[in-house]
Amino acid sequence: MHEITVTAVGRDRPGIVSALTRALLDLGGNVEDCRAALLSGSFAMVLAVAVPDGVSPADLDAAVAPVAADLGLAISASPAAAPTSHEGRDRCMISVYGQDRPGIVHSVASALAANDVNILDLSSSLVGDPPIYVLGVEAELPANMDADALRAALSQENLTGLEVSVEPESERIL
Amino acid sequence: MIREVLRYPDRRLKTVARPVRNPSAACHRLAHDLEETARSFPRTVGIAAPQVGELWRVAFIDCTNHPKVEAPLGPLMLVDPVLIASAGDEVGREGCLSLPDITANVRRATEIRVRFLDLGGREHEIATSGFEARVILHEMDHLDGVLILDRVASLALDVFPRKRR
Repeated sequence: MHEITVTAVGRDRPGIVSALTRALLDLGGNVEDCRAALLSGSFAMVLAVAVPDGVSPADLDAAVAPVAADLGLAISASPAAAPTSHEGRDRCMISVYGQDRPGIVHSVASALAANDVNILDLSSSLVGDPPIYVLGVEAELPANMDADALRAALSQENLTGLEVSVEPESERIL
Repeated sequence: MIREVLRYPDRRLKTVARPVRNPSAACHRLAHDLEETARSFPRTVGIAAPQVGELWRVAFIDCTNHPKVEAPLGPLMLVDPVLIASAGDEVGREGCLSLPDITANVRRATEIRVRFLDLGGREHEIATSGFEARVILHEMDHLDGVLILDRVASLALDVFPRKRR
């Protein structure tokens, strides 16, 4: 077995995950990691699927093509990257919120990239009344950095009018 | 009097409130307004003075009859509260009147001791745990301009904890 990553995006409706996983199952696939999100009116899903040796991304594309056509989804498959080690690396949660404007995610992400901080997970919404933009980032720090240093690095960025907080993530599993 | 509850991005919610030290008649009126305002929202267990635009270190908490609290301390009016001891930690989902439609996963201590003044200026110390401790810490955060979005512990309620590989 080897892994293939699959992404699927399209107008939301009941039945998408059912149809997609049926096609993957028929191919001998086993869904390992997957995440899905409803983004406005679109449903987006990413999956890491273990498939039998001999099944290529092109084979998978062909197997899901009828599903894509039926449900109006854009689906693509590609070889999965091998997992890397996260041992000994500290993680933290970054929360940024405030009045919405273009460029918030980019400012935060650029600051992280410049400091060799890796984004593991990210989520944002425009929510509330009055509406505010809320961005949460789970980040992995490089060996020479702690949450205080990251906080200091983010304070250098153009995040005027936004609240920024950095919380170290503990080792505890909930 | 029921007061209007401020919503973020009102800057007063991000401002550190001033200590009261000697509760005056104005402080008594504020305390009464806080309690009346809190009780006007059916499921609210606490409110802090900055949430009604008064930048004083006063907070009202009442966890009586809340299903999550076994032995609540009853209605509490905390003037100039100070956290003197805390232990444990737990992540829980919290909401806030000043951030409607938003909830966040917040890590808080599970056992706390708090020293505060009552409206007569007398000093008291209380100890509590669990949900009631969480509510008190949430309201005390308001007195320092700290909101739940400043204390996000994780993006999603980790049903499947992430394994470090």
